[in-house]
Amino acid sequence: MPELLLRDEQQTTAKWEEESPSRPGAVYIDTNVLLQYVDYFLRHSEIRSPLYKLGGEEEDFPEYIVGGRLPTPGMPLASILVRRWPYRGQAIWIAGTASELFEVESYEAKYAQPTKAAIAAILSQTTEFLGYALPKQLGLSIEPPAFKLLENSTLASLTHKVLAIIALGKRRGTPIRSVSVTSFKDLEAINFEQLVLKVYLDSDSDTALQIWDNLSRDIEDLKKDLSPHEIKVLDEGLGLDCEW
Amino acid sequence: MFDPANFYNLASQLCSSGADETSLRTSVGRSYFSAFLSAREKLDTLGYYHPKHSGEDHPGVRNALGSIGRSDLKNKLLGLSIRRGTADYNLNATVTQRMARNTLQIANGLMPEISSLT
Repeated sequence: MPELLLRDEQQTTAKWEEESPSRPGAVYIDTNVLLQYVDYFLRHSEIRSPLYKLGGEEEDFPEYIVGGRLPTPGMPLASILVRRWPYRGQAIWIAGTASELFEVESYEAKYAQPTKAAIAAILSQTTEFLGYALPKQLGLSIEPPAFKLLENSTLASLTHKVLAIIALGKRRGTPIRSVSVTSFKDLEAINFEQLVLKVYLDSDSDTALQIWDNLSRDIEDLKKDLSPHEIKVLDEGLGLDCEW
Repeated sequence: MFDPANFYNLASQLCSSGADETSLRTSVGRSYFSAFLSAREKLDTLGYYHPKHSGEDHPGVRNALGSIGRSDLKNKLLGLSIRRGTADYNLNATVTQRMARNTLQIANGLMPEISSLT
């Protein structure tokens, strides 16, 4: 796993800049990919944190501050700061605190190119810290083509609901190894692309086909609580595939 | 009228042990078309979907299955379509016998479910 740099928030930028060139093992990832990833999970996690983008005079220095809360009202869980450092181009900074009782810790990495391993490394260390258990529980990965589709808020919300169904299945013993969010283009249809949740199973064929049916029926049951528009998006924009 | 189930029989023959990748790729494609065409015709007969006889029918049939409350069939057909897309278009992928057999098995389970739609 690539190194994820960890430092104290009180370190100065100058000190970080001084030290960062000597960190050849740093995680490499494209800033925009990570921003979308963080944004997506914080907006659609079980905790459903709002995302606030600060603008104004800091336009060339965008900051994203996200406040999350535990289900217990008023109890702060985490805050996260994702910052694109103006002096370092591709660098990004993630800071989080579990609560006021814990020391503020921050994760820092400098990034250049996106890799799936880097995304996995970031998530494996930040999701648990911030309390977002769903991605870790499912061994979740998101293929870059899915990001654009997830900009559709209805589809993103439905994706979260379906992931919750899959996670529930796993908690109940369904042999789910991992889940990948990806896209599928039907090459013979014009402008057709949909989101696909691909579930990797550790089972034989008969069991896998039965699991596929069961998960599909659970997803079908979601429709009882959805609006007509959401049902249409679920039918036409989101599919479930299984591999075993 | 040609029975698309015949495609399934061919897919099964092409998937025999020792089959080369050309046969396996063709098998995956025939597995998909046996289920897709069966679903298209059945949905047309029942009035749930009116084929356009173009590429739009591929997502159209799946969407129709979803709209009648059969997400299980919709997703299985999607799984077949994804595998068929790989087998027919992706020359960099390796289509294995395991993949062809799994595809065949998906189609095998799907066909009677489609036939019993009402």
